[in-house]
Amino acid sequence: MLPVSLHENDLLGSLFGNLGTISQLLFTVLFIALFFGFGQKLQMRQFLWDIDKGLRRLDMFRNSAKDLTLKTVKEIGKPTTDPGPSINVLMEQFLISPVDMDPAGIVGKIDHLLDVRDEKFKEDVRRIAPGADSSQVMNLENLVEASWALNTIYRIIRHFYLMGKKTNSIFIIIQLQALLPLIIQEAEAYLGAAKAFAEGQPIGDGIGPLVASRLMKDKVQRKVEKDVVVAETMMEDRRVIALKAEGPGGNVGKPGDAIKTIIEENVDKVSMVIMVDAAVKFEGENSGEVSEGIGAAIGGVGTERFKIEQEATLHKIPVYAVIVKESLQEAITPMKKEIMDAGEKVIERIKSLILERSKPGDTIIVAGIGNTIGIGQ
Amino acid sequence: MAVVGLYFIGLVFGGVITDPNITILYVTIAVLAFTFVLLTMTRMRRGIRIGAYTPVKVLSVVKCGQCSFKQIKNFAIGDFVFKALGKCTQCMTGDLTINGIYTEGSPKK
Ligand SMILES: [Zn+2]
Repeated sequence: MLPVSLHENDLLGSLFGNLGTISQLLFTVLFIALFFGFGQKLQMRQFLWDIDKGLRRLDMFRNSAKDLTLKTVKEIGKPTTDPGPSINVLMEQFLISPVDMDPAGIVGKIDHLLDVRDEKFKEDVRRIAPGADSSQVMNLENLVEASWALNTIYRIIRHFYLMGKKTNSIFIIIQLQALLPLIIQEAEAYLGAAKAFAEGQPIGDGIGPLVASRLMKDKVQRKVEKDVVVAETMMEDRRVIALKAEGPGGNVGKPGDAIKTIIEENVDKVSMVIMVDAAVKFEGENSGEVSEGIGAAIGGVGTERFKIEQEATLHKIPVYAVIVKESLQEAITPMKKEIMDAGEKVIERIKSLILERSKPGDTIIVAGIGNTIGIGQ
Repeated sequence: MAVVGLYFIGLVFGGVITDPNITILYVTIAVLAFTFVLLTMTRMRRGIRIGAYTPVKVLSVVKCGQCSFKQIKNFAIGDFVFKALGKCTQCMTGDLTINGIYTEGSPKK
């Protein structure tokens, strides 16, 4: 009897003595439960909180862009009626891209759609702001487009936020939370762009037109195609035809059509096309660095690039690209000094390209690609 | 979490517990709790730092076509590159034009 009872006592004693071990076990179980079961919920809550904060920032951005648009329209447009409702209509505008199941001829279709949209947009802005001159209308159009972009970003993010909340889907929320800092950065750049557009300041993307305008300054200029100006100059005994969108209103023009026209005007004479444009740099590279390559350097939907590539192939003309590196933010916010200074380097590059790749007496097209806002000619 | 951390620190220094294992456990929990608090705080600070939007200062460079006159002024609405600004005040013959418009890069990347 005794040994058993002793044994029982011992067991009880060791049980009490092992209270530490038990609580340790309890804590371990609690931690596992906390981190593996409840942890995800906790994390999701935190993500949602982050997204909510970001969303409020985006809302703030879009509102200040809209206020800026309204203010600028009222200041320089001298509208007779309240422009608010019309601007709201413009903000919600959309473009239905053509069917791409049968892609033959789609470039023409997209080009046509963009033309129509452009024309309508300009028409609407002119109606809202009857007091603005043509370059101010261009700037206003750009401004409305920037606030349209901010509005659209906000609407899309809010859509996914509410979707994630409603469906409780951690995957939607994680993706949104991961992308949000980049999106906010982009939205902030758009707000900076809106400010530049409102005041008509040159933006980083304007480096192409800036270089072209330096070449065509004080030369006889004429207009070809939609909003593109052309001037001839001599460089190293070669005939250089420089072109850029017509400034100083915010405009990118249609350089594809212009290059096509010039090549057709000078059949068999054009020996090369040099395109100058801003290009998005990789993180870690210096802004304002100049580099050169081969091919049509032009952004956008791709319709202009298509036209240039087609024309160059048809006439077997080599297309060279000289680009200035900058970040996306720098491209749409007021031009930085290092980017402006890169203009001189670009002209040097063009000179050496011409010397290496053409003969005296040749005709060369230099196209300054980009938004020419704040840059005259 | 800060409360949890403080509570466990209190337990450790309250002197009630004698088992060193438990002391270690409680200290670990307290450290974890404080780490969490610290991380949350740095996260918040980073969020605020990204948030500040600083308006940029835009400058126009005015140059004379004849002499070496050069002036840098604040951007005024209506300015654009190659805008003519009338005759030069220094040599009276050259035309003043805006030669460039730029912004000095802000420290923020
Ligand atoms: Zn002078």
